[in-house]
Amino acid sequence: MKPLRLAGILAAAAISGAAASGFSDFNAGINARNDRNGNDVVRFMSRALAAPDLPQHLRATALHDRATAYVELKQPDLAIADYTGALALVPDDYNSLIERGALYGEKKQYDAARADFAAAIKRRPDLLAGYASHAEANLDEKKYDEALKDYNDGLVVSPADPDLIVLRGEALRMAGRYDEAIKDFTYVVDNHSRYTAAHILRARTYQQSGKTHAAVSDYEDAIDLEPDNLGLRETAGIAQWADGSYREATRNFTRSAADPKLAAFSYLWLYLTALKRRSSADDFTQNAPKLDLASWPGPIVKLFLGQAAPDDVFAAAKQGEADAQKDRVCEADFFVAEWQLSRSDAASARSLLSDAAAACRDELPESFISRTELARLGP
Amino acid sequence: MRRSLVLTIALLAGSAHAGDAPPPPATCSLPELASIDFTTMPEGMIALPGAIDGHKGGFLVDTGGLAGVVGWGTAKQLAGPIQRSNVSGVFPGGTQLDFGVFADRFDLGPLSFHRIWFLVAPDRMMDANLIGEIQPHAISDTNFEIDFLKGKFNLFGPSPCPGHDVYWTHDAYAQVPMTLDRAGHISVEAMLDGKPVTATIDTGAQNSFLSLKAAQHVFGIDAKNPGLKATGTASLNGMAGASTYRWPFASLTFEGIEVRSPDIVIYDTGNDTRDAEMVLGIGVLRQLHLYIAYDEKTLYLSAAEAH
Repeated sequence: MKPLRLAGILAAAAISGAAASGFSDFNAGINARNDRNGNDVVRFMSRALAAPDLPQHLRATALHDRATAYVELKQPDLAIADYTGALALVPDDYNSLIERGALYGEKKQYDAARADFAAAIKRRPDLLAGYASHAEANLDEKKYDEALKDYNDGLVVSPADPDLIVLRGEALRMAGRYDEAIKDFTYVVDNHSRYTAAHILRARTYQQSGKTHAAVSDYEDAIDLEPDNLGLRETAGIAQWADGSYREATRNFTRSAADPKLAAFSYLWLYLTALKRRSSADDFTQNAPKLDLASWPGPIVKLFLGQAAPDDVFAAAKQGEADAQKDRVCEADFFVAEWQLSRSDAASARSLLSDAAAACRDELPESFISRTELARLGP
Repeated sequence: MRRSLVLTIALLAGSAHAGDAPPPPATCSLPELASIDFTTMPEGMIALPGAIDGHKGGFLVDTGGLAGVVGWGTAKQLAGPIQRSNVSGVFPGGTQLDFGVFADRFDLGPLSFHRIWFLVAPDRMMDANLIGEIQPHAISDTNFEIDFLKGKFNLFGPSPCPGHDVYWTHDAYAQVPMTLDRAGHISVEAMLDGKPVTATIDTGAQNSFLSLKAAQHVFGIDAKNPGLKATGTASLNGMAGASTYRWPFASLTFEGIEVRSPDIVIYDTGNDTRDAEMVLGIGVLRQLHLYIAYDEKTLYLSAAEAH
């Protein structure tokens, strides 16, 4: 037991470095985890877990970290298996419960998800993540009352928590209880004026309850808070279009068109805005041909460029997986209706707008904007 | 894909101080006060089982942290009132802790401490499996040992044979003089690519890091240097964002220890000073067996798997 001199120390170091151990693999896995390198986490932790000399007290952490890496690598079944292994060793691990529950939720195994979230709440009733996650599983199954109970349980623990109040407001909006939702969002806006999401969600609720002018006001407040949020600018532009504020809408669509992911719809909206203003649609005609017209919503763009027919748009909308198809058909109904309006075919437009108003998800702007257009067209 | 942190630790030489040490007494047994099993967190840090006024949970061992910190969720459940602290704490990233609470009793493993002041931190700054953080020396005026291999955190009273405290190995070890600031934070002198730097031993940091301002001042590395690789952004304590970079450092040496190709994150929050110390985080530390002898102002080190 004494400090060694140089030769002995170098010899000792060489020996310790010669044989990889479960412990050294575990440490390499930890470092890979902290460097956000999922493939190396899986590699090192798998070696560590297979090593007979890995200390037992490190196994749960190794399994947890490998599970998290599997999540990043989009291998949820392997992740669930590892979280389950970690929980067998440490049954009250809050993080593993929340993370496994989220994976069950993604797989639509909601009972299993709720069981994990309930266990997490029991483990740490003072933390809000368990309540919010439990509520989210209920919302996914449209169990609004149960979700509201979850948020209320969390608000007993933390009565003025703005995140939970916003989430409860959103659950109320989804349940169609708009006045109560607006009350929650207003509480957060009044007490946390820089909480952008509260402005946006209240705006959406105003839209759904037909108060377009109030919606525009909230979106403009949100833009003041996040002027560089181009997605928000597009959403605000649509609200302004519905409210008849075409000049402001043009300004926002012009900004959002700078984002390649938003460009196609933004130019379509610029075209629709130009129609309403009875002005030239130069932005659209100059820029639309440069877009990727092979992918959605390219067929809609081609329709307005005179390069496709409505049937081509609907045929394209019905490609791909089911959820995406439904949203595309919604978008096709609305934009083809607007195209028909531009050709003075109000009867056909009314039919498609009715389809869109009935079938579009509430979260899509075409849902409320179709109702707005139907109201403009009259009976 | 970049290979993850790989450290080659070579014990180059015992310090002159160590090499010249007199032979140890025939029997030298450290007085053990407690031996506590710790858990290893996903990031590699360690947590001890504890309780504040009966509220049980994990406590991060943070040698670079504040004396005692408890999350709001737990603090609200204590009998004592949360009150404005006479001394605020500031975490890296700028998070300021202005409130605190007295715990009538704080249990750490088998040890109990009375009337302990804890600063109160937002829960988002803590792992959900933790209810607090401790800088052990500030809570308990003892020496302690971290055995990452066996998962043991051992507390000891003063050594009866100072300078001969390493009992766990016959393999090589080193003893490094350390300095303590008023908060009990441990610093040792090190050489990074041949330049002297001060390194803080921080068991609460998942990475080792150095500010860009310090890198520029000491090494002439600025943000425009083509060798400096931007690696994105990171959140410090869940609050301030920082741009992060890597620089191919070749060697970090302490007395008796060389870390080859040390993986050191260079960060830039925009508010750093050039005098910032390098922080040695858990990624490096957990490859060592540490014995921190506060009363001797000495850090004893061996390889973690030395026996």
